[in-house]
Amino acid sequence: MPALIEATGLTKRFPVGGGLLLRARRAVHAVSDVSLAIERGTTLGLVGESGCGKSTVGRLLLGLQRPTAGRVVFDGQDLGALDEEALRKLRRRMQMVFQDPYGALNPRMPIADAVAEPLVIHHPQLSAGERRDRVLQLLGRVGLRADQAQRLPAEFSGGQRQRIVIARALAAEPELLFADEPVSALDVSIQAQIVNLLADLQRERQLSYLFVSHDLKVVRHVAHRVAVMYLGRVVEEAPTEPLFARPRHPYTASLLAAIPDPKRRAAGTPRRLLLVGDPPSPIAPPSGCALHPRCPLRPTLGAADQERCAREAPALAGDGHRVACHHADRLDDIR
Amino acid sequence: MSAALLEIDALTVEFGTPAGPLRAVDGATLRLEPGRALGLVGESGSGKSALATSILRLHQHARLGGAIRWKGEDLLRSDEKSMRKLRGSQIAMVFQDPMSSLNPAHRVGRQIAEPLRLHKRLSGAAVDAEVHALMAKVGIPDPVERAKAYPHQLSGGLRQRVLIAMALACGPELLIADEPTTAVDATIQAQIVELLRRLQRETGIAVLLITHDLGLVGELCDDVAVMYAGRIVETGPVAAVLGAPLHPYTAGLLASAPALDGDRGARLREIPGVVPDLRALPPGCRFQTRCAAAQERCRSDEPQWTAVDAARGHRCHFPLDNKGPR
Repeated sequence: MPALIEATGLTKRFPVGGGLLLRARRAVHAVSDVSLAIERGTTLGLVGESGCGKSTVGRLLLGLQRPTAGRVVFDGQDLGALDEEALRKLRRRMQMVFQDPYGALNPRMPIADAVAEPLVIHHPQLSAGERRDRVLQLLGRVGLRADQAQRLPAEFSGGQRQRIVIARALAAEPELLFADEPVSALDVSIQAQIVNLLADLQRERQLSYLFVSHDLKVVRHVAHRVAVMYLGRVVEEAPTEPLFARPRHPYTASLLAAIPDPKRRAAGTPRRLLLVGDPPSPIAPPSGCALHPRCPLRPTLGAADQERCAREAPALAGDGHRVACHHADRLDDIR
Repeated sequence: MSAALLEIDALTVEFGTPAGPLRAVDGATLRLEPGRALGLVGESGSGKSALATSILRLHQHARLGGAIRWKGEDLLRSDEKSMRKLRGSQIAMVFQDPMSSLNPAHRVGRQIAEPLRLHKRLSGAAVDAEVHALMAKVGIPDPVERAKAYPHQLSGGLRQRVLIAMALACGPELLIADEPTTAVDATIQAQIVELLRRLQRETGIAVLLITHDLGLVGELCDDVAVMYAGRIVETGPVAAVLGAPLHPYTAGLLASAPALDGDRGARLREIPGVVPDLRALPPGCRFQTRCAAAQERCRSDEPQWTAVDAARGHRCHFPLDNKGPR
C-alpha cells in the first residue's frame, strides 16, 4: 500500500542576519535531506531535542512552509506542484494539534463556534441546525458535554482545552494529524487521557499521526515507527520496538539513557552513554557527522575512525531500520 | 533517627486573591535529615512550589501558619534580617528557569561572586579564585573565560550550572531545587542529574527536589512526599512509595505514565477528571471525585494523617493492599 504521505530529500534553510549591507548572508539549516513516510492509520513518532528541526519537518509535510529542496507527496499529489487554491483544499485533510491548546483557541469565542469554524469553511452547504448537531457530536466524542458548548476557553482546564482543539481538528475530517508535543504542557494524570483519546480516534477513523514529542516514553507508547532527529537530520528511523530495544545510533542510545531510571540510583552506577557538552548551533554545524564532537563512541575510536567522523557525514542507510553512523556496530562495545 | 535539619509542622500557606483567600498548602508536615534527598512531587496546583518557597519566606504576601524549624529554630518567627543571613548561606535555592534567575546585564562570574562577598566577606583575587573553583566544580569547561560571559551567551544547560554554582557558593547545608531540569533538553537534563548526584555524594548536602517527575525522584532522592490539592497524601522511602504505593493517587500517577517496558498496545490507566479548584474542594477526601476506590466514607470525612511507621505515612481511609501485584 502506498504511504499516505511521503517526503523525499526535504531541506529547509532560513536566512539569518545579513540584510542590506551584509551581503554574505548566512543560513540556518533547519532541515537537511529528510526522507520519511507515514502509512494510513499509523503513527510516526518524531523525536529530538529543541532546535533539531522536528517541528519544521511537520510544517513542511503539511505544506505550511515550502521546502528549499525536496518534495512532499500526499495521497499521490505533489504539494510543490499545486497552486494555493489546490493546496488549501488539500490542507483540510491535514490538521494540527499544538502543545499549547490555549494559544490555539480564540479566548473570546465560545468553544462550539471554534469547533464549527472548519465546518463553515469546508462544508458551507450544512444548515445551522446540521452544523450544531455535528459540533455537539464532536464535542461529545472528545469527552465534553453539550451544556459546556457555549463556554469560553478560559473556563476549561488544560486537558479539556486540548480536547477542544482535537474536536476542531476532527471537524475538518482529516486523514493526517500533526500533533506537535500534544501532551507536554499537561499534568501527568491528564496526559494519559489525551494519549488514550488519540489512540481511540486513530482506530475509529484510520487516522495517520505525525507525533512530535521529546518524551520518549510517550512516543514509544503511541508510535508505530520512530524517527530520531539531530541538528536537522534524521539519524535513525525504524519500527518502534527494535528502535527502543536496540538503538543503533549513539544519539538514540544517549537519549534513551537520559530517561530517569530509579534502578540506576539503587545500583549507584553513573550513565555510560552521557553526551558531553551542548547541542551545537544549526548556523555553524560541525563538519562531517554533526554529533561527532559529543559522540559517546568517540573515545572508543582510533584516530583514523575519528577523523572520518569529522570529515564525512554518514548517509542514512539500511532497510527497514535506517541509521546514519559510520560506526553503529561499535555501539555494543560500550553498552 | 538523627536530628532533623528541617522540620515542617502543620504548615499552611495562604494567598489573598480577589476571589478570597486561597489555601495553597494545608497542614503539611515533613522532615528532612542532614545529607538526605527528599522529593516533593505533585501536579500543577498541588502546592509543592508554594511549600518550597515558604521555607525561605520568599512570598511577601503569603500568610504562613504552623512552623518551619531549621535546626530547631522556627523560621516563621525569625525577623527579616536573620532570614537574609540564612538565604544563600545555609539554605540555597535553584529555580526552573535559569534565564529569569540571572541578571542579564551582569557577567556570570560577578553573579557567582555576589554571595561570596556578601556572606563570606571575600574580596579581590580570593573571590576570583573561588568563583573559578566553583565553576569547575559544577562542570563548566574553561571557567576563567566563561566567567566573563553574560547569561545570554551561555546555553540553557550552562546557565543552570551557573545557578547551581551560585547556590553552592557559601557551602549551604540544604539545596532546594524547584524543577531544575524541566526547562532543559533530555541530554542536558541527564548531565544536570549526574551533577546533582555527584554533589550530593561529595558534599553531603541535603536536597529538597520539587518536581512532577516521579522518575527523577526515583533517581535522585532517598525519600518522597506526594502532594495533591494542597495536602501531603503520602510519604516514605522512595523504593517503598514507588514500588508499593499506599495512596490511590500515587498509584494512579505511577500507572498513568507509560513505561519503557510497558505493553504498547494497552490503554494507559487514566486518572479521570481534573484537579479540583482549591476554592471549591469536594467534601471528604480531596481525591474522592477521581478515585476508583472511593467509598461512602471518603465522600463525607476527610482522612486524617496515618503514620504507618517512622518513615511512612498516608492520608487515605482505604490504603492500597500491596501484597499482590499491582
